[in-house]
This record gives sequence, C-alpha cells and structure tokens, in this order.
Amino acid sequence: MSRLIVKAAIFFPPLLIATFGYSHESNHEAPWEVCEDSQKSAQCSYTNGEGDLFRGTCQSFSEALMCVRNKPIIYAADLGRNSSVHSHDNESLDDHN
Amino acid sequence: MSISLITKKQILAAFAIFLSLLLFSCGGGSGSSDDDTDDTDTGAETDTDDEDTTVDDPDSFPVDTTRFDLDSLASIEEVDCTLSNGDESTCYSIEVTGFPADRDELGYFCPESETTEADEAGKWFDDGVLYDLTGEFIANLSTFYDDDTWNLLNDDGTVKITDTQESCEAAARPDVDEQYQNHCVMCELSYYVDVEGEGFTYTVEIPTTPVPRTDGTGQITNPGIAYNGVKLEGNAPVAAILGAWTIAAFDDCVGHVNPNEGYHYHGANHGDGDCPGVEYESDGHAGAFGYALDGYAIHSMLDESGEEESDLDECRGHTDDERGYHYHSAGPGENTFIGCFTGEIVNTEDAGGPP
Repeated sequence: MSRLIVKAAIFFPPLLIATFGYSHESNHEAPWEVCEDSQKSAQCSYTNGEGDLFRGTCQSFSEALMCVRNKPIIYAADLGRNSSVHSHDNESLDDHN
Repeated sequence: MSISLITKKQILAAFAIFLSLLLFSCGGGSGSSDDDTDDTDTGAETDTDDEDTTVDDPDSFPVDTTRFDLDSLASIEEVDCTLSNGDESTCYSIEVTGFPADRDELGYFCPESETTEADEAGKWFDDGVLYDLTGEFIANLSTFYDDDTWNLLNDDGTVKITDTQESCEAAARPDVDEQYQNHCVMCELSYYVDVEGEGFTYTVEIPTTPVPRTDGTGQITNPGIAYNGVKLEGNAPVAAILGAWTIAAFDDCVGHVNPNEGYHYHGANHGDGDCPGVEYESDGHAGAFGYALDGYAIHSMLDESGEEESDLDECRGHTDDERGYHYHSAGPGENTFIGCFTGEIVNTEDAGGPP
C-alpha cells in the first residue's frame, strides 16, 4: 500500500531553519563538551550560538556521550538572554518549564 | 419494524465478529506475521515454553510492514533472529532500494556560485540549526565560523565543489585529502549505481514486535530505516568535516551521498523545500516516517499545531493509547534522530548492512 504523503506545511520555529544573515558564534561542540565528564543518562543542557537552550540527557554515540535534547527548545527570545551568552550546564533546569 | 430488524442484524453480526476474533486471538505463540497488523494491536502473548520468546507488552505495537512504500522495497521476509538480549525471536528482514521512493531525484546539494539562492541549494546544519546552503552562506563562512581560513569560492565567484568521483571520494571521508580542503563536498549516486532512481540496497532486520529492554537503554548505532527506503544514519562527523574547512552538503531532506552508505539521512526535515512532507495523524499527532531498529516507530518532531511533545524520555520516546510507545525525531539541525533504543535490536552479528 503506497503511503500517502502530502507536502505538509510544517511550522518550524524560525531559528530551527534559518537563512544566513549574520555571523554567529558556532557552538557545535557543545552537545559533546557538556557531557565530557558525565555519565550516561545524566541531565545536561547547553546554549547554542543563537542563545537557544537545549535540555536533555547524555547519551552514548560512538564511544562518546552527547547531550540529546528531550525537552522543547527554549528560544533566546523567550529566555530574554543576550544571544552571545553561552552556558554549559549539567544541572536540571526545571525552572524553565 | 424494519429499523429494529436491521439493528438486530447488526448486533448479531457484531457479536459474531467479536466471537471470531476472540477465538482466533487466543493461543498466543510466537508468530506475528499472521497477526492483524493494525496499529491498535498489542504484542503477541508470552509463551515461555516456545523456542521463540515474545513479550506481552501492551505498548509495543507490531511492526506494520505496509507502511513501507512498495517502491522502496526490494524484498521483505520474516526470519528467525537473535536479539541483543540473546533471546531468539522473529524479525522482518527488510531490503530497501536506498533511493527515496517519494522523490524522483536527489538534491540540490552544493550551491553553484555565490549568487545561488535557497531554491537551488541544499542545507547545512550547525548548533542545532538547519541553514539554507545558499551562495551567500558559502561566501560568508569565514565570518560564520570566525575563521579566515574558510574560502570556498573561486575567483570567478563559483563554489569549489567536489564534482568528480575522485574528488568526492578524496573528500567524503574523515581524513579529507588536503587538496580538497575548502570545498563543498558532494557525491553522486551515479558514480556507483548504473540505474537512475536506484541507490545502495540496504538490508535491515527489526523485530516483528518490539521487545522492551529490561537492562537499560541501548546505544544508537544506526537509528533505523525510513518508510521511503532511506537509511537513517548516526551523527555526521561534523568536527572532522569542519576541521578540513569543508561543508558536506545536505539536500532539503538532510540527506547526502557518500561512497560507503550511498544516500542516507542525518536529520528529519519533512515538508521543507524539496523534501516531501509526512501526513499528520488523524488526531493531529506528528506522523511517522520510519522505524527504529528496535521496531518502534519514529515520528516527526512537531504536531499539527507546531508543538513539540513535552514528556519524552531520554531516548526521545513516549507512549499514548493510539500509537503505543514511539519515538519523536529531534530537530532537523540537531544531527540526531533519537537518543537511544528503548527496545532490543537484532544482534549485530545477524543484522544486515550496506554493501
């Protein structure tokens, strides 16, 4: 049975699919760095170069741990942070829920 | 009178159907291939005396092989298999074509010049964000990454692209050949496959009904397989890619070709650009686009309202009455689909792999 696939108008918050318009401070190592000294399943969080907060747990990939997000992204605008602020944090940030 | 007669007939018919279902659903056993593959079915009943072991878990819905696009399938058969916990079970051996059944062609990947716009360019991701890989993006990489070494433009404004098989193979690897540093990397399936519309055939084995793990979650190797026949791949080696001042361009579906895996996905971006969408479920829930290797379905990240689920576990899964346990993919720019396996996968010695 062929699967019915339609072009769904999926809404992605603007910062998930971006057009380049300005420089940013790449923080692509953050998901790995934040779990460097952690155990598997430990809670973790990091802020990307846009100031968006990613919260999750440290999971094993290729013999290293990576922070895999399992909570909705908190965008910089909602945080009210300066986009240049970065944080690597292994604390739970339930106060942002 | 006639209305009451019809009603009675309907009641009798319904009762007869109920009785027949009751009779045929008893007995358990290991085989799930004869079971109704409706998504609302639960797993087969446990029968520990049998050689094959299944688990009675109401949240583990049997794999529905009809979800795979027929054009994506080379073959599918039920086979005996050994799970990662050592138990014998039954699995589906699914051979897919490796070319997305929902598209006629791959791409776009690398932009051709500094003036190329998004509608003729692919994607790149960084920091959890998926970017349009426009000519402007390429032209400004030194600013984007704050590193003056970046220079992917020729003097005439065209983009340096690995546009031959030799250059593709020299660049699409962790140790990028020095002469292909500062290139946009892309490979063509046509280098390896003679027939247009075909890819690298890939065989995956997944349990016919997922078996929840009892000793913690399982590490992701390759996450799973999409219904359209494309392999869901693990993390792209971004550090190595960027370390050679290269961009391993994706198309709008966050997929690309390499000599070892053929065309494969590193993220889910359905419904954006040239990437076909995934239909939402009737209740507005995000639609499913593939199966993880443990047999649990993988759904898109957002529901029809554009909202994420807020109760995902560490593997990015959760349970509801309609779908049982299932995963939700991470965002298209996050270089991952799910965090771990909640269920048992096929023992790697038995699992199929790419050619």
